[in-house]
Amino acid sequence: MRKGLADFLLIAIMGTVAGMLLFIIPIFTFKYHLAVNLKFQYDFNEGQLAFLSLLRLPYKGQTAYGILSEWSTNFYRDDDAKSFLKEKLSTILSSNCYKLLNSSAIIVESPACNPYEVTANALVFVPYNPLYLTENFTLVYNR
Amino acid sequence: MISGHNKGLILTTTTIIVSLVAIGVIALLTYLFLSKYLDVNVFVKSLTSDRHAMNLVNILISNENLAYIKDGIIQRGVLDATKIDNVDPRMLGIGYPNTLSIVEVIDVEDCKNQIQAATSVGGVSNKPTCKAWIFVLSSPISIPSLSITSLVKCLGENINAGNWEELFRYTGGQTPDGSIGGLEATVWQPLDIEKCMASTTPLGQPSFFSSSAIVFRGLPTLIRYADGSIHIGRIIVGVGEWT
Repeated sequence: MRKGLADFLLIAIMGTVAGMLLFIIPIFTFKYHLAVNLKFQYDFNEGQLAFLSLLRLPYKGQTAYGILSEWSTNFYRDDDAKSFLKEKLSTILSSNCYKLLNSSAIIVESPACNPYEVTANALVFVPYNPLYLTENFTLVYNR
Repeated sequence: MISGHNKGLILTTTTIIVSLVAIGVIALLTYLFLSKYLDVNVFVKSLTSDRHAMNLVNILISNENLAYIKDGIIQRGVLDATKIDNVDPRMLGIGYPNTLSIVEVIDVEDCKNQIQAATSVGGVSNKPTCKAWIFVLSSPISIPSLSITSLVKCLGENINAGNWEELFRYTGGQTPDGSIGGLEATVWQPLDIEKCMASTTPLGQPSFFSSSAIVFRGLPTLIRYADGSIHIGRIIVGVGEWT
């Protein structure tokens, strides 16, 4: 009689523990899934809009797009242009950890920092490049 | 040697260990199954409002009533200051049903200059005011006995100007200078808004206010003024929903 009762209690306790585990595991899985999706959506939106805003900014009768477009020609590649890009990037991103680069060089970067959190890309027309007509520019930054 | 007195205890301990191993195996298999083969999309209500906030931002920065238009082409992400000055939210025709959508556009560049100017003259006690706009998007409400007037009144009573840094802590912004419903508008924390939504909502009616980075940080945009100058700004949309 006593043994039967103990077995019954044991089965009940084990069943409860197993049921709780089966219930808890999916909840953690779903929450993680949702959080990642929403963060990805926000990061993508912010990165793209930040890059778009930068490219649209005026600079000496040109735009930042024009500076990057002719970066390889050295025409706009001076300290003024770099200061302009740095100042605007830190304002747009509200961050002091960023890097703007293309396939061959780093255009501007913040000192003593290794950005990795958010990445945005833009294809920029490079008319003076003899090899290809567009080049991929990448903006990476941390918040 | 096992005595007759301890026999039952030993059997029970063995059973417990075997059962725990069995539960562990089941839990592992469940986890592997759920994480690898099962793809379930669950949209909880609070995240729905966050997603709606993001959708609204993307629509607003391309809306012809807010965005700068050059040569007949809408400049996405470039807001026209003159248009925002005269914006009539009812004319935008945007908004989810049974929602409260608060839109804020902040001139971050102006904020930065104001703060720098105030700091350079040691005007710490003299809080600089940033150029900013704030308005509420109207949307159809189908919940009986829900009073938007009561909600706006509650928000007005819960204004906490001392907490402006909370909402604008990333942009370095200050108190906006717009107005809502005749109230001197300043900023609210999402928690204040959620509290007001809950207190003015009919009993048993769930309500949520967006709580993600879209409210705290917003998204980058540009603001074009009538003189042709372009400033860096941020657009922040907070969405509260009754379901």
